[in-house]
Amino acid sequence: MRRIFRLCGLLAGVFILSGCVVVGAPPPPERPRLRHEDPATVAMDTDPAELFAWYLDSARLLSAWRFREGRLSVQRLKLATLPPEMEFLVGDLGRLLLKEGSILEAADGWLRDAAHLIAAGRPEEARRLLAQMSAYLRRGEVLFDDVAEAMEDLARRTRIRELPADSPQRQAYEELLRVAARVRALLTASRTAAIDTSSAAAFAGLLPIDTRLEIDEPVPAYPGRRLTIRGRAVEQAPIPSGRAVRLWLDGVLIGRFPLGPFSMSLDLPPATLPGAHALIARVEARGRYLGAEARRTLTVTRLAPAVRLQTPAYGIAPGLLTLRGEATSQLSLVGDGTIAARLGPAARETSTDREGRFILGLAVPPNLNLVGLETVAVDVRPREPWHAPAGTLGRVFIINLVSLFLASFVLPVLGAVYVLWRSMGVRAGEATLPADVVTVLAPSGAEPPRLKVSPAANTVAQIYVEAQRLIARASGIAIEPDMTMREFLARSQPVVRSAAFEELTLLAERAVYSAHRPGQTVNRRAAGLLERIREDAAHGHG
Amino acid sequence: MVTARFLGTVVFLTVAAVTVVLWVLPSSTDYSPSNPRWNGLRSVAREHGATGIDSFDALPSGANTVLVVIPFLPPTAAEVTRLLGFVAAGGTLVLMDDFGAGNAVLEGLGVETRFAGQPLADGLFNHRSARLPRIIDIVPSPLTAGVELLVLNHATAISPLGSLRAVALSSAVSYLDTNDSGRRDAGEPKGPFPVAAVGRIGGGSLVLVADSSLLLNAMLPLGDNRRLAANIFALGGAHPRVLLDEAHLPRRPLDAAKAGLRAGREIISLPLAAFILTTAALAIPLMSLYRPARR
Repeated sequence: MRRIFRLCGLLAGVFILSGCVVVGAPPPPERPRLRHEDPATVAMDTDPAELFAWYLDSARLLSAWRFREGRLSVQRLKLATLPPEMEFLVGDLGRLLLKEGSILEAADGWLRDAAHLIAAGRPEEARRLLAQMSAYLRRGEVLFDDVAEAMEDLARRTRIRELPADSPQRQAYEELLRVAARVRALLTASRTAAIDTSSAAAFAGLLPIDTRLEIDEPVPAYPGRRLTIRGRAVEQAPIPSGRAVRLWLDGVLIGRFPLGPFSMSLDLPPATLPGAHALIARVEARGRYLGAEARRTLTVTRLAPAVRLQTPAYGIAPGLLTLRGEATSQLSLVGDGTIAARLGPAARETSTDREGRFILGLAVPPNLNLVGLETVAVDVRPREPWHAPAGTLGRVFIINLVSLFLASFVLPVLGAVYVLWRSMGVRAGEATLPADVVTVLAPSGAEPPRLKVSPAANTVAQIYVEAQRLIARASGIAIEPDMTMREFLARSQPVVRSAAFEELTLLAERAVYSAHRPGQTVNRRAAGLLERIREDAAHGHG
Repeated sequence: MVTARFLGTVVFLTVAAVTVVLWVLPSSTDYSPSNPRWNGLRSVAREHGATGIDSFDALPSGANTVLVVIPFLPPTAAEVTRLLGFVAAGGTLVLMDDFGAGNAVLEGLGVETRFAGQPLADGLFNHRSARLPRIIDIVPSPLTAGVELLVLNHATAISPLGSLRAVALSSAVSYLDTNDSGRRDAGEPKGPFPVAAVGRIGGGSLVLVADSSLLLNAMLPLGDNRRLAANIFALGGAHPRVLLDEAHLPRRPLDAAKAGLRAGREIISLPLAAFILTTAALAIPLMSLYRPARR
């Protein structure tokens, strides 16, 4: 009970003191407020009225004959976060807008083709194309009504008309209505132009002039090396606009060319990071001439040189290990590059020569763990920016003189320890004999005991001890510590005559003092003799 | 005598209990590399083997080192000088800031680029809230390989961009919420704004991210944030050494205590201290066995 009280007191003390430590801790100093929140628990807070600003940008692109960009813009709304009740409506509106954009693009193309056919003196083919286009545009007008209806529904749901007139969302909505009206007018004008070939030719003459711009797929480039970029810009105009193609790499203007095929070579800056880089060519719009843009991804990479390493078959530790090798590359020689070699704790640096070859002496320390087949690592850090660091591994057999010396010293010691251990083990085996046996078999001056006693001999000896006790009890003859088995037999025989004890004494003598190891037969014989001795001892004679 | 022993035991057990609790208890401090909650950096620290550093005194040099600095607290002029030396020697400095002291670092580095310091919002492209904008305009670059979408958390914009190159831009309907109204109002700057940029300074690289929360445990799985983090660290090569500046992060008393314990562990792991402790650990039980014979 007292112990329980002490334990409770101890716990209470620890608790109180811990509390004091916690309470006594200084309060955290005032810091600037952190601004972030758990995205898993953040409250829904989106503004669907912003949809009109986005649709406005998409509609502007479509009405400016930038059909592909307009469609991409509409498709990006898939990434928007909307209230669940508006998701279906916005999805539906997006599909309608995409179809409308496709119709506009197709109508534009067909109208231009029809104009070319008329100019080429093929009016029948142009008429067929215009008829097809007219039907297609009728579908576009129906779709446009659907778009307008969906837009009106969206305006109701977002209450866009209730926003202040100067709010950006409201202004975007108003502007969107104006752009939509222009698109509607374009559809109507296109359908009207499709009535006959002369109207189509006249209308096509009013269409903006298309500009096509392409950049050839660039080959992988290397920092610090020359890069060639090719492309072409074509405008379908009777009178050249005189505009220029501007070329940007990672937002930096790198070239300016007249329209037509263009090509430029530049040395990529040595510090250019490996990876993807943006290559953009642009022709600005001017008057009736449409602008154009082409994008390519330029992959900048670095080439790892091939490293060949020659290592000697073996090395001595401590000693100097001579490594030879060569770094080669398809791009250029790997001259004056840094070579770093490592073997365990040993490390050394050197440089390649102008051809990329190197010879390096590595001082191998006498570390005990450096022995046998070891790995040599060689890293190459080229000087050229277009080369990436490279490395290779070699194997060398290390003969460690320190280990050898220690082994030659330790092995004999271990041998001696083993011999000593064996001898101590036998002594320990002797010590396992029963105390009685040791007493009885105490060495005499005339006959020293054998050291090796087998377990079988131990059994015979124990049987003998048991028999000896029986005879001693029956004869009343005390067992002396320095008495031999034969002496005890000689003393006891006159009193208790037992032929069995005589035979057992001989067996025990042979088992304990001779090199003979008794087997199971001897053990059984000894056990049988013990039974007979019991009877002899009981009757007082043999 | 018994009272003294009792008090000694109480004090010893208290110190041991407090030490164990301080060591085991996870930090809940924002941006802490040992914080496993939503606002910690444990995921990124574990995934990239980031090592926390408490000062810039011994910044390693070399192209394979990437140092992430979230300047919640302003660095000193000497610290900025060390950062400049680190980048000039070929290191990669990743500066992630929104409303902190990032501009002081940029000024010290001698670049014209600045963090706008105004909250970036996007009412349309966002993760549930306008303050968690989705970044959908990704420019091809070594930082953005495999990145199509990023999610920010109470971020700002990079403006002006200066000589750096924008690699991620907010949407055209994003805006800087200068009056903190939560809605785009007339006169507020409209996107797209650069939110991540990269450039070269001396022999090293400077990466700017206009959001200090991009690497938080809860933000890493959103969009391609994890991929962006991997790309940023890959600027240090195949086996980069990632360091995380903890000196300019918010810190609570628990973190200070943990730092103290870590320092203590480092001291006792020194060979001499370890030898003394081992000797003492062996000697004390042996001394208790030795008792002079009583007469």
